[in-house]
Amino acid sequence: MKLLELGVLYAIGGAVSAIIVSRRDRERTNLRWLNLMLALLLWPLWLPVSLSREQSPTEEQSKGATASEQALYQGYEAVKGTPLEKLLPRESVERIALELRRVVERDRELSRLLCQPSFSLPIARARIDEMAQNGGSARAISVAQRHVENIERLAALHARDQLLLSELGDWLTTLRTQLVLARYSASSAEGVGDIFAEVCARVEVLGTTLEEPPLTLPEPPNLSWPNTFS
Amino acid sequence: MNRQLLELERLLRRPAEIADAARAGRTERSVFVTALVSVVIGGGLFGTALASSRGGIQLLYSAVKLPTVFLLTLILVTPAIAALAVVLRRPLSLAGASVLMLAAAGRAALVLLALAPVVWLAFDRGLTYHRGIVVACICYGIAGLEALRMLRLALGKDLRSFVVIGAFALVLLPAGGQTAWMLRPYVGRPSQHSLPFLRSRESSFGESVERSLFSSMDIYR
Repeated sequence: MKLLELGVLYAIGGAVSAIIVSRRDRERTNLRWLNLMLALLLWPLWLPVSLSREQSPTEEQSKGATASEQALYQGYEAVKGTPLEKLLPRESVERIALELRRVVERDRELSRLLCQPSFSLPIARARIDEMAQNGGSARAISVAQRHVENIERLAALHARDQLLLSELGDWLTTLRTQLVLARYSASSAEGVGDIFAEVCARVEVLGTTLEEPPLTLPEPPNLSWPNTFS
Repeated sequence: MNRQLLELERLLRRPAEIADAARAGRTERSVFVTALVSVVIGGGLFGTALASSRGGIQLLYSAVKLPTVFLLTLILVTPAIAALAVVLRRPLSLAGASVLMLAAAGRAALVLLALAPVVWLAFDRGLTYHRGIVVACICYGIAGLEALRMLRLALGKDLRSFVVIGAFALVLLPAGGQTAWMLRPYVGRPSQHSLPFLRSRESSFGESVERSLFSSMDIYR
């Protein structure tokens, strides 16, 4: 096959590709000419790209995400590629989403744990009462008390996470509507910065853990072992 | 425009992100367009630097031909890497391979753009034609390594990926070499009075490389 024949075949391929792309892309008038030019000249490279559905990273990540995450991604999608993107940059979205996922996962794990009998607060308290009635040692009761405190701290952490996640969900929903409004009404993005600061503050809190009280146990009894070798 | 600048920043600073997206089958058209612009501008300016020893219409010819070589080679070899990836069970769709290859070529072209002033300075300081060809080959090699890095980021570092890249190199090197050889000249021989857009067909790419190497050592056959 000569170069000219190859060129003619390539041109036919380009023309067919341009027809396919133009039929598919009727609605997207902004970049239509670019799409057609690429389909005509670089069809072996552009046609697979043009025919595949463009999926943004946030769209892929939002699969199976919580309502808060969905709101975050939708807010980002609303400003992506616009001057408003600097208000909610991709890096921040990814960082917040990562922290959200981590905390949601921790919250689920805590929920599962706190449902188990070994993490039940009434059972642990009943155990202390039982030990006190049966004349258990102070050290044994102190250890059991510590177990109760640990469960209480886990329950407090769980409650705090749930409250923060709920609040964060509300803030993210508001952030999304604010960004969408700013984009479509072409109004100023006043207030977005404040909302974003509130979101960041809550994410920072989510990243922390509750302070741990110092572990204090009574001195163990002085057990003397008879020296049989002396 | 702002979007393209953001994508250019990703191409320059976060190639792993683009490689991940291509592997995951996310076909980001803005990356494709940005990489294409990088190939045209980077390749074009490097071609101009190469032709600066001869000047005249050769400046325009080389500025047009170098990006053309990039794009023709990509058209020829992109289905090959997609097929190799499928055969060796690497997750890479044809659309993902297209974006990945163009992004790799875009990065290579940006490396050439960075090297263009060095090449221009060397020719300006009296670098001879044959040594200039060798310098250009070294620049292509450096740029090629950067493109290879992008492929490695997308395909992974295990043995199977190594086999995919190795097999792909066997397709890319002769295809790219022959395409570049067919579209010569880029520098323009000093002995030639007229400057043709394309040189008449003679010998082959392999023979041409061998002859240029000997000529650079002042051994003429």
